[in-house]
Amino acid sequence: MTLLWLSLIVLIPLAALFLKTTELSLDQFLRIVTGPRVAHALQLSFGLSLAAAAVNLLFGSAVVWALVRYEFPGRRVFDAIVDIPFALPTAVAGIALTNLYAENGWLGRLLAPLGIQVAFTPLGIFVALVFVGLPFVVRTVQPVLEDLEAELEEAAATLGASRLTTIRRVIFPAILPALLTGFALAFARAVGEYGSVIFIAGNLPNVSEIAPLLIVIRLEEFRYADATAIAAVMLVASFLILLAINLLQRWSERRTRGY
Amino acid sequence: MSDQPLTLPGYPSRTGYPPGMRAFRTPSMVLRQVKPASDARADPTPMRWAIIGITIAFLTLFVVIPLINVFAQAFSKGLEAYVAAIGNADALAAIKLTLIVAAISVGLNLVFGIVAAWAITKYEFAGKSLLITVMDLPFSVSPVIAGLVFVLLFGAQGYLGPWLQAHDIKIIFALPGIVLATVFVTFPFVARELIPLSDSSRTSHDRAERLFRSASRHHSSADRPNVSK
Repeated sequence: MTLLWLSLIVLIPLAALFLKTTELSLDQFLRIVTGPRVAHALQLSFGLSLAAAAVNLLFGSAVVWALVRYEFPGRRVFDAIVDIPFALPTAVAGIALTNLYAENGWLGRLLAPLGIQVAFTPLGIFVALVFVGLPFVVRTVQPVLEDLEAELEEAAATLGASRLTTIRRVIFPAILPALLTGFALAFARAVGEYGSVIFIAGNLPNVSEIAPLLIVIRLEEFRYADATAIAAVMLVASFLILLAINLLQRWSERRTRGY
Repeated sequence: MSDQPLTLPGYPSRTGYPPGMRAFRTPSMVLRQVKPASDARADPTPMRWAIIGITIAFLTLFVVIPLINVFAQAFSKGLEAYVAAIGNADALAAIKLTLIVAAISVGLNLVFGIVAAWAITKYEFAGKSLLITVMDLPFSVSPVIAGLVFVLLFGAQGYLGPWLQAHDIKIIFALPGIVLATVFVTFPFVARELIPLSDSSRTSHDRAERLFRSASRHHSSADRPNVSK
């Protein structure tokens, strides 16, 4: 029954996508995917997603550490709002961010005199992608860090390790798989993000047009072949990311079993 | 404070005891003297403040301010305008549709998510990790691609389009299509949440199972409390 449901909802639709792609010759496929507009959109999507996931990895680690290890006013509130980017409809997020960073918005007004324009530029897309990917690093690392036994750190301290050494040599290796998984999840989410980005991006071809948007545009032009080709590239990318995540998880399971 | 002579009303003064005899202490007095188990986890103060500062700044910039902005926008024209906008027939219909779709797809995903999590954690079979990967796919696949895929399948030029049209079944641009897309997008959540739970309860479950086996009621009673959380 699991298999049946899975194939009905996931496998058959995705197979249809590939079936559609095979209607194109390899030559046609390559011409579509390497066309300047498509290539730029794909580059933009993957590049900005990578950057946003990296920012989330860095700041997410700080957030996780503060939430798990420290007591400070509002900790519970901050802990709760980490999930908001996940729960908020992405379109709402996109409109709110556009509002904030537009030239007369709360934050855009402060940035405009500095010559920084966020809304309707790739920078705006980056901000939106950081927003949507924010919960993933935090929520993947949090349980691991919470479960980390105090004895490990105590043992390190009694053996004369400085705090920094303990963090670097004891804690970091233990949470590394979770960090990487969170990074990959944030990246995967960012690559596919559509709702929040289209509002803030400005959607100029060759400047701030992301790949998912280009799929929608092609679909509306009834150029199904083009849309499918772009989708196939992105689908393969998602597959690879997921595969990496699962391999990571398996690797970390093997490692923790060794303790 | 621990070595200062304490005088509590109703209790004999500590100084009144002859040497060698232990002072009378209430449990709370004893407890208060216990030192924290360890300070091995304490971080240097500057690091502590830097991390807390980064956390608050980052979350404020990326979550709190946008959230406040949403509400500020919603109520910018006053409460009346807000109520009027919500009460509008189109808005009501949209909210109703959203709730119906959510109810149907969450129900479907709940049932099949539990079944899938059960199959994955309780049984061993070939291709299990592949199954998990495929189950995760909707999570990492762009929602746009999900939509495209359903158009390819059920749209007028799609693989099933002509057949559906001949039988006058509407999927795309209708409720079934919306439900289908929502189910696709939220597919991994239930199973993904349940799998670690059943994994960790497996050892204790196995123990319970052994206990219950003679009574032959091991399935129903050992698992349910954990899942319903």
